[in-house]
Amino acid sequence: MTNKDASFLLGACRPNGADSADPEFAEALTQAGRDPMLKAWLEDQRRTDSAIAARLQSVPIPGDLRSRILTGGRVSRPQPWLFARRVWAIAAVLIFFAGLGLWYAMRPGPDQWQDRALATLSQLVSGQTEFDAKSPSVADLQQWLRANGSPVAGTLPARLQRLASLGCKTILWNGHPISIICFHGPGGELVHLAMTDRSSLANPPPEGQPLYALRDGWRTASWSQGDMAMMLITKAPESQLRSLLSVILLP
Amino acid sequence: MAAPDFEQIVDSHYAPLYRFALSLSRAEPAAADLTQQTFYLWASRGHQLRDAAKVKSWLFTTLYREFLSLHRRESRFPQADLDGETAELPAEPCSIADSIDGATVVAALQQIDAVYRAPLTLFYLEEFSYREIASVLGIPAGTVMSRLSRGKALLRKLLLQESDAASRKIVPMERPPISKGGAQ
Repeated sequence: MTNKDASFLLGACRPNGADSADPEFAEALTQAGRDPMLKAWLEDQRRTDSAIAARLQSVPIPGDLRSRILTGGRVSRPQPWLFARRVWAIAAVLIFFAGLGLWYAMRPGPDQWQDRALATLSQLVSGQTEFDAKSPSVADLQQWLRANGSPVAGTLPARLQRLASLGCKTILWNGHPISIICFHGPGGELVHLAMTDRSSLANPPPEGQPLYALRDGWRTASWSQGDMAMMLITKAPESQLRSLLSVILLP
Repeated sequence: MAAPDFEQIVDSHYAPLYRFALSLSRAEPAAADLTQQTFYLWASRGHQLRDAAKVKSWLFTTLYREFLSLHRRESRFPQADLDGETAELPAEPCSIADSIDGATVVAALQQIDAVYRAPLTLFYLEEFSYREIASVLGIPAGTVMSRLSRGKALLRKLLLQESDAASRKIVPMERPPISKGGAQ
């Protein structure tokens, strides 16, 4: 290392000795200890640097600067209560929209209970699910449903009670039970009766005259009777459903 | 250990920050504004800084960036390639230590181009090592050394000129009273 290199490095060494332990300066400092010219240069450099540093560090500060900074700083600082208020506001908005979404998803649609019942029927027919109880006697199935707190009409139409039953199943829709009883129809076709509490529906089917519909290959007729909403379901043609229903609804 | 509060941070750093700002901005009101602005930025954004040990570095870096931001609106810094310039500089010892005061140092610093003035001021404030100065100013450490070398030479030259001018200053002598009667 030449003296010029050493002086270049040592020029960055603070005069207060804070950099004395920096290994970057070690070699140059050692060289300054050996070389009288470099040593003299370093001593002069340090003396001058110390003097300049001392003068610069004694430059007076405006008397009111500190108080101005503190006052302005208080205004500039984010207020914790304001931050908390923002957090609460955001949380409230999120909760509102989450609630809205939940309500939208959970709201009872006019046909959703029927869709749920039809989906279960499809599973029953395909063997994906089984009856909760099996009996050729619809009276036994009615009794089983009552015993298990499932909705069942107090009195089924007389003709329907004469049909041979296969079994029954209870499912839940939005927390409300739906009972399904499956029968052998008069012509051998399968007939299913779904029942749920009328009060659990926002738009229960009308009383008396049934509503006919075709859903996913199922022919349905829906009506309300007393405190029950009912739906008769079959794969048979609509004429047979109407015929069946006229028989069923006969007192 | 609890993080220092705003007042503690102000008390620890506002004086060297102001002196740095004064050196950069060349005017006391501008330096005070720059210092205040730096602390206001700290007040509003400082909570984002995770490492409390970096507060000083954050403040000086922010002040310097604010200065650059303000200065760029008015003019551009002349950018000089410093490599090679240091080799031409005389490294002769000089003795000016006893003939200067704070105002003279600041006045001399303010005559030096900002590219040298910023590292030079930070060096003489003794708050940072040359590596930390490089970090504050966003330049390589080797460049800091070059600028310190060049800046010191310029500063000494200016201080010597100032010292010479002061020593050569003509002080008017008090005239002896003239007697009205004259010699008899």
